[in-house]
Amino acid sequence: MNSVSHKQFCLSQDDLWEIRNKIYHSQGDGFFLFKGFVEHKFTEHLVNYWSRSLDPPQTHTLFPGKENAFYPGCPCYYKHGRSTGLKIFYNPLWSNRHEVVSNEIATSIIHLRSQIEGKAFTREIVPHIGQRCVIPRLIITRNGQNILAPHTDYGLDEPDPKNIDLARVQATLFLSQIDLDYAGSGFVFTKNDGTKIHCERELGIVPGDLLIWRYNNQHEIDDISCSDDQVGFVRMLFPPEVITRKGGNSSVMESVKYFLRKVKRKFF
Amino acid sequence: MERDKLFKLIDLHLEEKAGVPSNRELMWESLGDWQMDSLKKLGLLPDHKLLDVGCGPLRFGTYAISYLTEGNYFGVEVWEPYMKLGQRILEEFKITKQYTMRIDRDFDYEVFDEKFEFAIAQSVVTHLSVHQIDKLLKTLKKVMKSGGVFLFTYINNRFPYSVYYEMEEPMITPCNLDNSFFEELEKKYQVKFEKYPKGLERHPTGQAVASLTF
Repeated sequence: MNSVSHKQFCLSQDDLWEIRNKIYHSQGDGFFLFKGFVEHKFTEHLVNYWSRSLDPPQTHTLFPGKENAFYPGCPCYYKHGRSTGLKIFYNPLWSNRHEVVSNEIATSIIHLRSQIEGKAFTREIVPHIGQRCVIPRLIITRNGQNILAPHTDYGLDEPDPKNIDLARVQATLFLSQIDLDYAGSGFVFTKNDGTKIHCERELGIVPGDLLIWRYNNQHEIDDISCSDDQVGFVRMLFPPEVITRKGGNSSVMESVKYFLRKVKRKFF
Repeated sequence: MERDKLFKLIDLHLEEKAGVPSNRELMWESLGDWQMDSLKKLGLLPDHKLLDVGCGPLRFGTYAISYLTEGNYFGVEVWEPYMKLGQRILEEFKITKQYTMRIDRDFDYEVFDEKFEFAIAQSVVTHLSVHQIDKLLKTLKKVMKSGGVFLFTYINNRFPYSVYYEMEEPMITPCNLDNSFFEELEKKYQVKFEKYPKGLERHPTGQAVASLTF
């Protein structure tokens, strides 16, 4: 299992079922940690690029808000919290042409995740309107309280039943180290047995480790702090986002065509 | 379904290496209820013999085996891990009646040496190519009693899709399953096609529903 990395990410059947049991089985933890998924030179590269080298407006558009932000061909976005120092980079695979390493690592993680979920890898890497597509996200959190409120995703309590998907897992690629690059709670995850774990400290996570965790278990980040000479909590996430039409509205003609197609399928 | 029961089913799927959490478990009761209700409305009685094509891990089996006279349920499935999982699910549901289940990829139902009053294929025709549908009908023609009913669900796609079931099994969905397609089948196999048989509830997933009477 230790050989799984961003260069070698196809799981054997034995490994696959061991991981699935640890994540999904009620007696399992709800997560699986791939130690050293990414080598040090890559984590250093990513931190240097995203945290120290890039001036976001040169390559990224200011994030317009989640609704209708993601459409086929949409640009890379960034969000910058001036008071907290928070930086979020939304890097669609089709638009992030300036930082190829992030794309390559993201692709390996999306593939690894698809094996665990038992779903086709190509299903969510190409944007189709009305479906979900993974938009890799790089986040730098520096200072703040209640960074991520406790919540679940895709669980049985989803208001829209079509969003319930108990197979979904999320992946966090850690790029900096707690108590060295930042302080605070770090990532707090609720295990399948209901107990909470402060992942970085309790699992000894170091930069380059990949944590794959059950999306519908509660997760949160209470507080993070760092000084000016620290890089902060740097990580990559891989959320499947809903893809809309550019501008968010479908034309009347499209709606009529859709309706006619439905009628045809039902009666002919 | 109660939360504990749902998660127990998920655990069993994992222990038998049969699948990750999916709609199978989430729709367990809504699909099972619909199948049982539909077949009863079409005339299924306890002493009838039933063939469950694509029986999965005996989801509908838990309903049908309980309802039918001992030994009258026959299931076929392509996904091998469902065989053992089916046994464990029946144990979990405390169902001890006899049944028959076999792994089959070739539509070889004559091996049962039985004649069936009813057959059902829930979300199976949705994953069969047009060629396989023809093969299925050819076999059913041999094993269904005269007057026997085959109830199935399908989707009329405009073109064939491929499905990669559990990232293990490649499958092809059929297309152009329109009225003329079924008229051809009626002629070829001397069966009577009925779309949305009278009195049946809508299918929980919105799939089209039809029956063929032999």
